Amino acid sequence: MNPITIDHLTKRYAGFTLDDVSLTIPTGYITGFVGANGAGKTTTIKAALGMVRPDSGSVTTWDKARIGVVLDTPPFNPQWRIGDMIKALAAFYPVWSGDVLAEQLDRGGIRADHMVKDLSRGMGMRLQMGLALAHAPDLLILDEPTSGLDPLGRSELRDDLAEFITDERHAVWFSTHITSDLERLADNLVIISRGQIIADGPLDEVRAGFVKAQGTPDQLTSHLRRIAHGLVETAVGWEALVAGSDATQLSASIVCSEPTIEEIVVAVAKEAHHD
Amino acid sequence: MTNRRPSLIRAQMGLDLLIYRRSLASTMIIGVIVPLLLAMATHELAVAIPMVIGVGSVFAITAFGQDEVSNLNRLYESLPITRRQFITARYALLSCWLAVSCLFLLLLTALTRPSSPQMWAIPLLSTAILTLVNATLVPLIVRFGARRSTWVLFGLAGVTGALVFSVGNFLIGQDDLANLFTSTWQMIWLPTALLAVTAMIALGVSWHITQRLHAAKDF
Ligand SMILES: Nc1ncnc2c1ncn2[C@@H]1O[C@H](COP(=O)(O)OP(=O)(O)OP(=O)(O)O)[C@@H](O)[C@H]1O
Ligand SMILES: [Mg+2]
Repeated sequence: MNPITIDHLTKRYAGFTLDDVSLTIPTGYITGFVGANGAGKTTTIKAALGMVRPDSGSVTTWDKARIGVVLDTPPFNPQWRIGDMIKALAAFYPVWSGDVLAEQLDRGGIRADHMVKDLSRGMGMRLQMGLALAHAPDLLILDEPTSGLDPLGRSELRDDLAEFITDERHAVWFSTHITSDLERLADNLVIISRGQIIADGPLDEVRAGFVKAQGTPDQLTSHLRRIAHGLVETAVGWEALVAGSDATQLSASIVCSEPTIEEIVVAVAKEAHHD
Repeated sequence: MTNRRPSLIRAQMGLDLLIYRRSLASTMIIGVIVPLLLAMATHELAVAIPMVIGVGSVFAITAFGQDEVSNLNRLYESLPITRRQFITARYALLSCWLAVSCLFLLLLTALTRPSSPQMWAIPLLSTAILTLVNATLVPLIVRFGARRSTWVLFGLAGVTGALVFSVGNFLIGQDDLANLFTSTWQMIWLPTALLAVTAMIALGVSWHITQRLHAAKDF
């Protein structure tokens, strides 16, 4: 059984629909999850965790005792004392490693007598990460875990994830806006735009699914305008992404190259913005 | 540290106690020490009992109200506990709380050295009222949120009060009825028993309704 299987999931809000989302998170890999603000990443993750009830479709996941979770905002009572809270949360799990947690707290400068309300944003993320790892999970679900972390913190988190995934029975699913983290970490990539999954596969395949095309103004035909994603025009030329399947239609004089993940994400987001 | 098979309901009750620990001092003063002193000094329950009921009524607001403001429901959803177990844990804690309140009210009554055995109905009636208040409040809070629910409860209390008052007035006017209740058993213990049973049933129904309301929610 895959750690997460989302099957034709639909969730409607006023002004937003998570539309027929299907995806699986496999074991042995780190799956990155990107998309513009409001594209539906958090909603998808919440649905996977059962926080959001789907209007239709289904979600199956491993038992929660096997899942470590980092949410975009720490879901703790501001008045809890860290030490008390840790003791109370440990009681929910069959296994609990105080050492793993202590290492994370130590790095974040978090003390047991701190109150939740006294933590900085980055400290809150590290606390969540420590709690997620302490019960020896097999699956990590992380919603923007690097947001609020300083460069050292981000690098430490990347190392933690890389180490975690060396056990091939483990799986990681994380959303992010920081594409360099994806390039360094992710084996697989899921791109979501306006509530729809528009790319899902191994990072290299997703990247190969797009071609970066550059040319002079006279090469920009109306047909090209139709197939171009995230077109940028200047007085001297233009630049756009074209789906790999459409690339054969480009004339030989147009310069083609492989786009970065950043360029793909930006092009997709720009398009969502225009429509 | 390893707990072989954790009891999720007990774990949840432990987590909830963190919230109550914060208001422990004020609860002890207003809900325990002052009523205790009053009961010992005046040998009267008139002020002490309303104070205990007042403090006891905020139980539900404290736990469920906190969940809303701090996104705690998202934490519970990421823990291994199911939504059903979560609500069961809350009602288990509420039941403990009601039992402790009942014992405390009995202690208060004992301290006033009651002149007649009928006085012992007062702590029992008070516990029944406390149970009814909490049984009503919890599903309201889960459905409408803590702030709106308090107003809904005030409204309900007003309507119930008016109803009891007018029905009572009507009954007092009926001479036949007054003749019907001749013994203290009928006057005091029968209504007390009825109210106690009603309160217990209400708590069970409330638990069931809250389960269903909670199961349908998005966090
Ligand atoms: N409870 C809700 N009620 C109404 N609309 C909602 C609700 N939750 C989310 N939305 C809407 O769903 C859309 C997707 O939100 P979501 O939080 O999933 O985006 P996201 O991809 O995580 O964005 P970000 O990168 O900013 O975190 C947004 O338009 C948001 O306003
Ligand atoms: Mg988000």
